[in-house]
Amino acid sequence: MRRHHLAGPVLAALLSAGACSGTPSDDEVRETLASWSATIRTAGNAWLQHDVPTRFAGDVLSAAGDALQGEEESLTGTEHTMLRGRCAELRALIQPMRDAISRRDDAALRKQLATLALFDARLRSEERARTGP
Amino acid sequence: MKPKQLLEITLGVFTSIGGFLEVGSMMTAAQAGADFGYQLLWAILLGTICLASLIEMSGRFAAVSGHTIADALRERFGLHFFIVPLVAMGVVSILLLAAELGGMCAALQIATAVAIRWWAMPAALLTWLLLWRGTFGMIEKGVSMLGLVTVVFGVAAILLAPDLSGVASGLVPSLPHEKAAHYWFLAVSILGAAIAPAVFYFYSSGGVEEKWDESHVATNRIVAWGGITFGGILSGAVLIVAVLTLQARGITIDHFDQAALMLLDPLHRIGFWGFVASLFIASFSAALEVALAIAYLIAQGLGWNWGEDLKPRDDARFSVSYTVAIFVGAILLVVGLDPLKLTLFTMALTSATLPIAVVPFLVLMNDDAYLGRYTNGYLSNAVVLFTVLVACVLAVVSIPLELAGG
Repeated sequence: MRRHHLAGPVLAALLSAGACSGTPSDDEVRETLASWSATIRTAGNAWLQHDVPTRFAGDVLSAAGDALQGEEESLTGTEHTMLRGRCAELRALIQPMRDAISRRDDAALRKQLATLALFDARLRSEERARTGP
Repeated sequence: MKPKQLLEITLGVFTSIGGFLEVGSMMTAAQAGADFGYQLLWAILLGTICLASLIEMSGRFAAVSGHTIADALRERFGLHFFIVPLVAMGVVSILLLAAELGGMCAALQIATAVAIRWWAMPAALLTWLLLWRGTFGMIEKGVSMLGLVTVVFGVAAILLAPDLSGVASGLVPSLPHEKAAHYWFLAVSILGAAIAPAVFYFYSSGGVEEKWDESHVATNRIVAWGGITFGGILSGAVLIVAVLTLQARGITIDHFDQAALMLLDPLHRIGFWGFVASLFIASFSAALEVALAIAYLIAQGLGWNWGEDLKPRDDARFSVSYTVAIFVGAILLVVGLDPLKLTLFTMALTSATLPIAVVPFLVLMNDDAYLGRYTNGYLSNAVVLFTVLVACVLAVVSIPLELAGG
């Protein structure tokens, strides 16, 4: 009987922990977005300078795509529409970058990195507007 | 000092430096730097002091008593008591072994883009093969010496010229400005990575394997403090490099690929391959040590034949122990556990179980039946006990909070 009394709260705590861990806060998603955006930019620039192998740069882009898809799927409800949109926008930049890298097309990758820089600037200005000066 | 003794000390210090970093210390330090700047350097300092104390004690214990920690625990406290640290350390060490195999696989994934789970069995096989065919000296000296490649982090930290006042302020514990649960979770993960009981249990077994006696006490002290101090500095260098390359760009570490970018700024292509080599060799070296530590713990505690220098047929149960441990660790990766999350969680769990492994050992270190005039002083008892209890309390509080916070 006593075991049942203990099992209830323990199970509830574990389930609530699981439930919480499935729904990151908006701040966490913004941080993840900015982090993957910076990761993609750094890996792309390193590939242009021949500092990292092609297969590694491709793998970073795949990992970024998977992580962003996970974030997007975790954002349910209309209040997250804008953040979901940003995740999708960044994800949309990934495939052309992968194509450019697999074709070893430096010029195409530079163009995509310039688009990524614009995306980053927009993220930063939204962050400033949200948190104040 | 005789030339032979000097050579022994030099070899020992280099081995300790090369063997200090492993996937846990690398990734916890990198994540701490990327998330909190220099603010968690104090945890590395505290962990290093505590580990150096424990390593020195375990070497002294082996040299003076001729016992390993595990067999003395069983002798002093009895088999029923010994089962508690055996189970607690056994479970945590298998998770730790899985994390180290995961580190090897992650390095191979970064180098080849072939997914981690495909590398799990080859990595396990390589680890097992070296234990099956190799000798203690080859594993301790040879592989740990290769670990000197991790000095690349020290070189990178120097080239990046960190702000020394920022570094110094990080050595003093301070409260986090945000994400408190994650801050304390990382602090205990750093402590757990530094003070893994498998390491100092392994060290005492090494002392007995190499037939140390009282004449090794002074050498052991220099090797323990010298090697571990330099190793701790390397761990600090990982954190500093992460601050200046990852945090500076807003990169947090959710994936091993992100950590692999940390040496690009100062060292470019060499930095990339230096990271891959460091992660692979450091994890490989630690996987060998942890697998052996598990087998030592079981065999010594249960009174079986043991010895890495014996042929497997002469200590069959010992050899079966590390074989099973390695393949259980590999299976955890094959079924798809995320090695980065596994690493951080295992390091925190190590902190939570520290008192079970360390407190009975401290009792042995104060028992003059084993150590005669070489028992511990008050200061070393106090430093180790304080660190271990703080790490345990913080772990018990922060692990559920980190899980709840995602």
